Amino acid sequence: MIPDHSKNIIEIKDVSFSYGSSLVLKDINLNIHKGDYIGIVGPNGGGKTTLIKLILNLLEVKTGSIKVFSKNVSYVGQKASNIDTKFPITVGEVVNMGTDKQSALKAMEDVEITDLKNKMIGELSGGQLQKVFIALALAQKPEILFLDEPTSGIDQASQKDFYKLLKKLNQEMGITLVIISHDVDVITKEATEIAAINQGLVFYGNASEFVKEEHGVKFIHHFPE
Amino acid sequence: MINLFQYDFVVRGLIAGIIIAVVAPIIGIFLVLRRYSLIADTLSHVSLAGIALGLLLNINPLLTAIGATTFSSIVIEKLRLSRKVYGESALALFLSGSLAVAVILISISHGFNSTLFNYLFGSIATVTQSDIYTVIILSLVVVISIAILYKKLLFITFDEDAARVDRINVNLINTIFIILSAITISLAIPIVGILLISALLIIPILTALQFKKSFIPTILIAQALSIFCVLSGVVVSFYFDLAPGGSIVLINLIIFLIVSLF
Repeated sequence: MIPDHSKNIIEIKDVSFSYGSSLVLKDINLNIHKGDYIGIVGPNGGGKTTLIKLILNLLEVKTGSIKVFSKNVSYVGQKASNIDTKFPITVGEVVNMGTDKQSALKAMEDVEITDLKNKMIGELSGGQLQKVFIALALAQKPEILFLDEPTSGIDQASQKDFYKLLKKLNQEMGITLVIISHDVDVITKEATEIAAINQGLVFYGNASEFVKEEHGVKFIHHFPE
Repeated sequence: MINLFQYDFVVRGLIAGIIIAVVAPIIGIFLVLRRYSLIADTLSHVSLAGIALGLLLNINPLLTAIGATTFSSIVIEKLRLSRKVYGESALALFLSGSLAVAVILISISHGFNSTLFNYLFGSIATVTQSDIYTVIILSLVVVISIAILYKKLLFITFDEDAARVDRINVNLINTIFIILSAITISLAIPIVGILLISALLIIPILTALQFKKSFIPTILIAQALSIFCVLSGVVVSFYFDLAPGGSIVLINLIIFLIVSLF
């Protein structure tokens, strides 16, 4: 079922993409609506990251079209989980990189990392580091925030904390969230919509429809080969 | 004991050396963190071709070196972006290509082998008064440009994809940065020589990184170390009749070893 959000913020039409001769995405049609919290799931190599990179213009769309109806877009890529911890920079310097001082301070407050401001990034845990990247993204005042596997390498307690933060961004701050995750169990609980991609779009709808539990048995929407 | 400051050429060399010691780490930190260290080596070899051309045509070699490195840096960046060759291979292409051009130019001219030797290994005696003016003006250009681009350059260095999404013109800033690197490398030639330039850009930063400070303090530590190495290198070389370029780089290396061991 398509969520009842009236305004499209991203329109993806007939998008296909290949790396050389290997086809990664085929005929993707998907609308993402303002205020959505959408989880993009699918097997490794299924084209999730490629789709996000096409939306973000990090890769060139050659077949089909993608329209993004917002200029305020931020991205927390996989880099966040494999950052160079020797990089000589403090949390405050990171968040301040793409913005003015006030927006940086506000973003650190929103993410509750003000007390880490003077810490070097090499001293942070995975969960704290992830929050720093969110603050860096938030400081740009985004309407849409893209996250690529944001919780990989983070312990469970921090994950919980992290998803609580994402919920706040979506529900209180009205930011549209597009999140790639391999953890189907978690993302189906957290996101409101799910798009499953395995070359083509194999499922799109409410998260609750993607994973159904009947008599204690979980049914996950199956990816056709 | 002879007072080394009574010689004008020593004073000129020291002034140029201290300016380069301040400017080189500002470029060096971005080169190191972006895993671009080798570009300093490549551009220094390109500058040799520029110097050989200058000597052949009787033009100030510092200017022809700046011209050659700037031009090559733009072509290297374009090649890297076009993805026709791997970034590293583009460097190898220019490193060997420019050496070939330099060797041909040297063989055409026959006459300037001893002058060229000074450029290869550095000789503060080659620093003229007009060179000092060139070093001051171009160093100001480099420092002011980096100051203006600082936040964006830092963002690109930290997370290039996120910077692109934030609508930073990454390709343009990369090109400007590589041109600034080319200028800095050319300016450092008289101090340590073509073959040792990359040491002046890279080693002080590697040493400063061991202190685990944030970005600006790391640059300041590298600058202080660099000034110390240039001053002590020139003094040691003067009194012990050693090559100043080699002395400066060796002192740099010794400090790096001591700091990284403790």
